[in-house]
Amino acid sequence: MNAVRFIVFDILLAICLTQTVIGQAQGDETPVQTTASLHVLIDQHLQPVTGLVTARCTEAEFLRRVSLDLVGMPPTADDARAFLADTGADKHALLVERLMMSPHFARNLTSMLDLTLMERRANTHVTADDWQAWLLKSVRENKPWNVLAREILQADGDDPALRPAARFSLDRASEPNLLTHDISRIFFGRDMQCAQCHDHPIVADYLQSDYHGLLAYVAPGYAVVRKEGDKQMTLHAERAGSDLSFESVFVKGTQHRTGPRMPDDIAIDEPFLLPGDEYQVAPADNVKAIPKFSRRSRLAEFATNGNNRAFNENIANRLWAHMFGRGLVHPLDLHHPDNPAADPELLKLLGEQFALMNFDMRAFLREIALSQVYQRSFDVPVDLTAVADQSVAQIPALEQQHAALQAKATESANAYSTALEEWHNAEAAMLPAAGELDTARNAYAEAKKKADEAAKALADVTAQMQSKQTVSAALNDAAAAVRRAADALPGEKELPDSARILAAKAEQVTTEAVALTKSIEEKDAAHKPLAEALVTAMPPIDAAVEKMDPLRVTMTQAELVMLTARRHSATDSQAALALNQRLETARQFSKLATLKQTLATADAAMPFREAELGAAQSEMNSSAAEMTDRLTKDFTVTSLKPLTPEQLCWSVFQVTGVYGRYWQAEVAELDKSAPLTDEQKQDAAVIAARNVELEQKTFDKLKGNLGTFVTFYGAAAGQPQGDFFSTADQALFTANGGSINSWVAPASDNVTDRVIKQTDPRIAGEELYLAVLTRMPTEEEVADVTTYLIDRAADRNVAAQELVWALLNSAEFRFNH
Amino acid sequence: MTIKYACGSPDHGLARRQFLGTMAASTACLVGGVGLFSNRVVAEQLRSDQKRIVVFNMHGGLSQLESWDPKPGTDTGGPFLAIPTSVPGIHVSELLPMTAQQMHHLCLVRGVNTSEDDHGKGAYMMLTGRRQTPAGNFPQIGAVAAKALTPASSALPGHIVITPGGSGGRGNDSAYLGPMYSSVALGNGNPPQNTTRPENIAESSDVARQDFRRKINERFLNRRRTAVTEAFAYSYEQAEQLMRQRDVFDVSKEPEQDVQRYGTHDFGRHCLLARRLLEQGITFVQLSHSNYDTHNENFNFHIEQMGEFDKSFSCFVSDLAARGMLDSTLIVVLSEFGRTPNINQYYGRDHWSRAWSVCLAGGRIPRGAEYGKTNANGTAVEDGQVDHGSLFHTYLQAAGVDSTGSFDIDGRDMPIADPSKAPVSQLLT
Repeated sequence: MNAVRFIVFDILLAICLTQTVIGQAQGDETPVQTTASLHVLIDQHLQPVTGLVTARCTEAEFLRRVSLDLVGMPPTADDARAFLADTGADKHALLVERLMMSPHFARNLTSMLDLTLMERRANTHVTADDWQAWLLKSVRENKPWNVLAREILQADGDDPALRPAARFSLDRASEPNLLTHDISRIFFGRDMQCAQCHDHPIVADYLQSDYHGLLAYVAPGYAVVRKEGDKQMTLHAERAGSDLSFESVFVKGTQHRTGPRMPDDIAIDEPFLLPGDEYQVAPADNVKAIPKFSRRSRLAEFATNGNNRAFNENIANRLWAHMFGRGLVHPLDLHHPDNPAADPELLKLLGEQFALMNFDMRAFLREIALSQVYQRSFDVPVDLTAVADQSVAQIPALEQQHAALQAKATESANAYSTALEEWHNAEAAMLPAAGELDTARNAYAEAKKKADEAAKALADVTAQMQSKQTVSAALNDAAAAVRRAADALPGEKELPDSARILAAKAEQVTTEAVALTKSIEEKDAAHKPLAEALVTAMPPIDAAVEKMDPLRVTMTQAELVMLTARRHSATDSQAALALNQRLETARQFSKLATLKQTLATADAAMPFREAELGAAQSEMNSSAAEMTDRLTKDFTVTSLKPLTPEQLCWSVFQVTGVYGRYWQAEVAELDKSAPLTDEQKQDAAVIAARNVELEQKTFDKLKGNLGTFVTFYGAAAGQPQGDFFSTADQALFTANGGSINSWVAPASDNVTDRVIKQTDPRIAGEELYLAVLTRMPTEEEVADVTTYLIDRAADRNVAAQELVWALLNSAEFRFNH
Repeated sequence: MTIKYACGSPDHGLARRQFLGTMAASTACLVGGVGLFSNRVVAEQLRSDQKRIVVFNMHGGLSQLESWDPKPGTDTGGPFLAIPTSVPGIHVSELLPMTAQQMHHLCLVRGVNTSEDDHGKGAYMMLTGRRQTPAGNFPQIGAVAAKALTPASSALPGHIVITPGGSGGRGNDSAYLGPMYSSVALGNGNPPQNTTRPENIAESSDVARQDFRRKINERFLNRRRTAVTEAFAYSYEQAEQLMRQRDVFDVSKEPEQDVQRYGTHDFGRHCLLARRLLEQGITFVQLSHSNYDTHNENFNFHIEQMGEFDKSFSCFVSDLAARGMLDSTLIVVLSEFGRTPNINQYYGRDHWSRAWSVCLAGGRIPRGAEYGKTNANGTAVEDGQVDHGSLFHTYLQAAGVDSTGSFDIDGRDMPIADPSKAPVSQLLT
């Protein structure tokens, strides 16, 4: 009997040499290897459409921004002062380097990855603590993203070292549709949930076949409980997979069928395994099944091998959003041609370069931090009409370019439509043969089941008979031995009796064995035709496979053509839409200039044209707001990023000195329990390891408070964590809850204490602003603080706390800017 | 190739969440849904006088046979009699003598069939109007009501849940509507968390620090003002208003006479608090009465529990009627399911979702009415069958919300109630 038949597999292997073992369908362009640093390449993109000059953020803003983004908290006042006083040309690069060497870097990136991957889901099979510890260890080791992702997608929870990685699947209850939804969102940047029952109603690019293709990878996964002694453990096991059939709930009657397909790829080839031959370990109670062909392994491998553009661009975009507060594609899980990246070429570049950097997250974030784009200011240019003339001048050229791109996009969209139709035709042509193969397979499976049962019955009876024969032989031997003993001891009366009993028993068992022989003959007779039926069930399978092979090859060829056309269409459509955005921005600039003119005219005619002036003013305001929105989306100005609950917690601890106090306590503790030798103190590696240990110890002491911040500032479990909200209970917590009020109370040399003790109000003001907002105060602000403290000379202690509290509760503190 | 339809999945609305930029375009429009009514239909509904909803959650599964749908003298009826009510022809269990006298305000829905006998799933269905799906979550009635009915100008939370115990805090019940519409819990009827100034902070000190905060905020916001900064600044104003209006949540401000009338037990106090909250303009209040999961000694438990409920609930209904609040306030008495007609060997009744009852009053609900009918021994619905989905539509319609409309969630239309279900027209006047 053929054990494994690679019929379809072999033929396709010959056709598509680029795929199968080493990877799946590759992009049709090879990434450009470049010697220029990525940050230089980034800065060649995202240039404003008009002559608008992008403003650079201040040194202090850069310091706070990059600290929050890389280590999750602002610097201490001393560090801020030192950075601001530093005149070195390379101080930015050095700062970035220093932050990345800090143990807080891993903590902050771990938090971002955790929120992205688990969205604060409740513990079920793996605790959040174990999972976060594993993530943290991975980030500290600078494990590449693709390796991390592969471990997560692959994990079944059996290997203790990788059990935490299985939390992604286990704590989603191994539910195939939930996993399909979340894998498509989190690893491929595509929220395809609405394509489950029909093509996506709003996103034309998300097809029901895309959803089911990914589902086919995931669906064989299931949760199995394995008991060992009094312990039990749930594993994310895998069954053998089959094709998925589906039809749209809106287009009834048209059947579709898919094997495993991931976004931006074609369906994979699978070895043809006969029913009953699919498993290394078959599914059973208390057993982790192991299929011979694991779809999950293919998903983990093909998604992460660097060739899947969707996978690469998703993570590049997410890391970008971590630094900029919004993705080049935004929302982060809506990558599709009608929602183009702010700069599609840049996103492509980032995806490629990140893969070429071996998915090194640390190195990638460093490049972003060093780019000029990252250092842009959040201020909206004061006079948005200044570049109107240049904008107007550019419009004709932009229109021309847009028309050309649009024409190209239409052409490639048509080509994609045709290719899609041909693929569907090839699918329709294949379906009857696939149905025949299903029938033949099922018949074979049925025949095999019967034959196996009969064979087992036969084997059971044969075994019974053999066991009777063995027993009967043993009894005969025993009878003979007893008889010999009886002959040797003629006086013993019982011995001959025993021999007789044994002989009688032996005869009885022999008779039983003979009776079983008859049963064996019957069972054998029953088995024979079933075994023959199994043999005759084979040719229909062969015939169906033979019929299906060429059809499947045709379909795969059509699918490759479709995929290529789809990629071209996506690229062209995004290029046209992105250019249209630039065109619209240019138009908006010129519109603003016109409005300004109208406004000036109406203003000059006051008081006679009051209504006109009001209308013009209001239109001006909304146009300016729209312009700001455009400039934020194209990264001309930087977004305001709300601190995550985690960042907020550590930042509050940092600026109120709580963090420093706990850290110093741990330093003292370690210096006592495990003092370093003078030699060790000179060893950078020892010091780095010491810092990691200190960070962990300080974190452990303070992490109880993290829960409080999450309760008030975190979104609900299982909901996306990136959406900002402000509620009254947050403001009530900071005003009346015990925590914040106690942290702003004066304590050994914290900011409140320094403000209280500082007799020079100017220096007190500087302390205050440097510590809490990481910048020097303006003259006006110094004057405010001075007045405040002078007015409250009688209760200066209280006044200083009020000032710190007020700054902590300001928008400037709440947001990263 | 864009097709204009909706399958009702929550994710149809999630995919386009957070087009922050779009919102930033209009500074009048706030993030996190601070009183946002992007749906015109809903906004118009607001202009009429404000509607409110109160839900009594009979936790564990109230027995319909010992309350709204008695079957005395049958094999399933148990020991209690049915008594006449203020509406000729309508009878309720003798365990509800005082509520029976308010029957002319009430409407009994006796044909509820939800086909779900699990506590968690049943409660989810009754409170969200939909079945749980693995890939998505739906907002509860309170979150929906808060979003649809709370005036934008209100500083008070629109969604209050009075819990039997606990310290309060924000609930996880608003799904894609966001934390703005999550419930604010009043633990054992106490006011919301952190609404009193700590003793060690003088009022003048608080005023001073808040003023300074405003000043520095203004300076920063002059550089950049967006939807998120507006929402952030507003949350502090809302918090201050909430503190000023803290009395709204203080049931001890109610007259002693009413405390006695409602009953001095927790449930009585919670009912009185609910009356107070609704009077003060809170949109949605949910309170619960525990525990009706009477697998053992069903009858003894119901004597005890119904006794408490009857006293407080009848006062509540008659007070709302007397104060003219019934037209604008919908009252819903629901459970996760009812209890089996079959009486088990422990004199208990088990979980039963195929023929049970819900009691409604107020809003557009007909007064002194009964709708739906079970058979003689209560084992099946004979007429007027309704389920969680149609009831959910009905609640909202009764409170003046077009439940067939949609919320605009960050640019996506989200059906307010399950689009595959419809309101029960016989329950709406």
